[in-house]
Amino acid sequence: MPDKILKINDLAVEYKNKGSYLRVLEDITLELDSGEILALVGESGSGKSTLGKTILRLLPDSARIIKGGIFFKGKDICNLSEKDFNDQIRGQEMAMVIQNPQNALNPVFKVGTQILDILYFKSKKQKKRKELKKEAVQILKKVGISDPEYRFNEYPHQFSGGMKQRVMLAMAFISNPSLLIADEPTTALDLTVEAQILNLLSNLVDEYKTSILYISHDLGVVAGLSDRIAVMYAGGIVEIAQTRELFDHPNHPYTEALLKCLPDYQQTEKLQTIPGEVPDPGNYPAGCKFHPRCSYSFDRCRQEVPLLKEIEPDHFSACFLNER
Amino acid sequence: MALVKVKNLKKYFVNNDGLLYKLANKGPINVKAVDDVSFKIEKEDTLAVVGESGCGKTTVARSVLRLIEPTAGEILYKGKSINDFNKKELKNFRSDAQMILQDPRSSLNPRFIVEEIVSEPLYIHDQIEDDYNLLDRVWELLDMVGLAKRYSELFPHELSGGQARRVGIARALALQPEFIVCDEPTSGLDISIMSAILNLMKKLQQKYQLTYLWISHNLHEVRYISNKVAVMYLGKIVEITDTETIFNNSVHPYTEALFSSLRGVNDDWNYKEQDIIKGEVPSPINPPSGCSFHPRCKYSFDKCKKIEPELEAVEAGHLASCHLYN
Repeated sequence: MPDKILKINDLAVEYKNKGSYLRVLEDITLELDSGEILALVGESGSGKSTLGKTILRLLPDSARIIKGGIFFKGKDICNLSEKDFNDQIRGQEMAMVIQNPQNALNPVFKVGTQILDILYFKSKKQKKRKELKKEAVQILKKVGISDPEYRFNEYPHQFSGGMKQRVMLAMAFISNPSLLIADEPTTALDLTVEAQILNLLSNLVDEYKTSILYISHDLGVVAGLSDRIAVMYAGGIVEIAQTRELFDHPNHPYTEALLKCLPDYQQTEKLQTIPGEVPDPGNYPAGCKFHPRCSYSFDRCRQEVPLLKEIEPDHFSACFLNER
Repeated sequence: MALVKVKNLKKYFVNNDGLLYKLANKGPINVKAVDDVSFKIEKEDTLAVVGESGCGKTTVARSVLRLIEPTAGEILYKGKSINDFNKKELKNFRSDAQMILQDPRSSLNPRFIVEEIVSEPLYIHDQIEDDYNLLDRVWELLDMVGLAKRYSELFPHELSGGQARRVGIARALALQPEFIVCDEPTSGLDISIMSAILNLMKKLQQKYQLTYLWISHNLHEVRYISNKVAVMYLGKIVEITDTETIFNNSVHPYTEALFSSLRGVNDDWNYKEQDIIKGEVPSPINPPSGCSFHPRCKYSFDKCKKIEPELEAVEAGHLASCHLYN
């Protein structure tokens, strides 16, 4: 049995807001195998980015974990001190690629310098930066940047959006992390460049055997990238399944409705819509959070909260319809 | 007669400011944002303009509404050139042709309530009889886009992205236009809201016989909403035909590349095995010689590097600019 890289048990996260607490994540249970790409999809406000940040402990001070635990390679990382977490996990075993590469690179340092910094710290400050330059150029070359020797001495503003995201991927993979959290890394990019970056990412995963938690709202992208998909709605996971299984046999009414909304390039008739809107945290309906928008809802949905249950091997769904 | 006809539209932005630049005395740089674009839109059609960022699609949209003056070329609206309009004709044109702007929230005045936002065009074009009727008209417009009466009292910050988008559409409809330029009206919206907006736009088009110029980079959406598609690359149209043809029988290598990066959720596929186009869109300041797509094109040959291909008919109603076919 392959090891689980990441295991999240019954996690709940609250934000402090004007004296009261808003629960933004609830009942999150998730497992990630090594070398697996798990996509986290959901509409804005569903808590997918919050979950990514919780794992890397990047939440602001106003947020706190109130329940559950995050286990990374079998170790509970919620109780690590900030220093230990920095020394052992963040940037070493876990890395992150964020949505906007412009904000992630320091505009006043050369791109090469920023890569050298990481290599320097990776060598535990043993090697001189000059010795590392060759390695840094190699890394730039590997992620498909043409003329890397010259590009090494350029500043981030001289790079295009796609090239910056390539550099971000290169930096994330330097320490050979076991887990990469990618928070919509291609949202700001054009179609053809997006395809290039995702192709690069797929190849890097093959080479480094890294697990990826890929956060996205684009089901089309996820279809071509991920092994499994977790669908989030209003701070909870409503369905997890293998990619093809989820698209071919969606179980949860929300997943089903979401897939029908998608203007697929093969269809031209009227699109389906989901009535109502995503509820705000603090204003969640009782029972199943999706019940006011669900066309199948019945009495039990209004009273009890459904939990994720395995309905078929490796296919989990949180819906009472399966128990009827 | 076509409702809108664009003939050889060119828009160059001149970059010659900056003290250092003037001292160096290099002369102005022409950025060819739109370079010799021609198309026409028939009444009740939807022409979608697709392309990557920087290809000039928004510049085309703005020129068509005379929000910017073109460097050269002619835009005919109902057979008359919009650049020769006198003051009165221009005002009529302004009420006939509307625009839905890209960002749903920042295109609404934050200090106005929805009622004021939607009724502002009515004031400007002097179409108000009395204030009592005005509110009725605003409610009617909100109803057309699927918003309840109570929304007329809200400020833009109290609206969700989808609701703000609907208010923008209501404002565009206020003067009963015939022609609407939609600049990426669904970008930044969630999937379920996006599908609702697309349904709404299609319903409105049928009900009020509207003509759309639809700017987008989402090809799924284009397939659903439009019946003609123009693909732009680096300021030029590289292929233009009806939607079915472009999705099934496109000929230009760029269209092919663009559409190959488009896959639905119904097929089994992955990015690893995809044949992906190399390189990025070059800068319009310094475009490649010959065919501007040749450095990225897998079929390119000698002629492509030297001679710029013309937009020519491949078959009836299907134009493409590629040496492979002409």
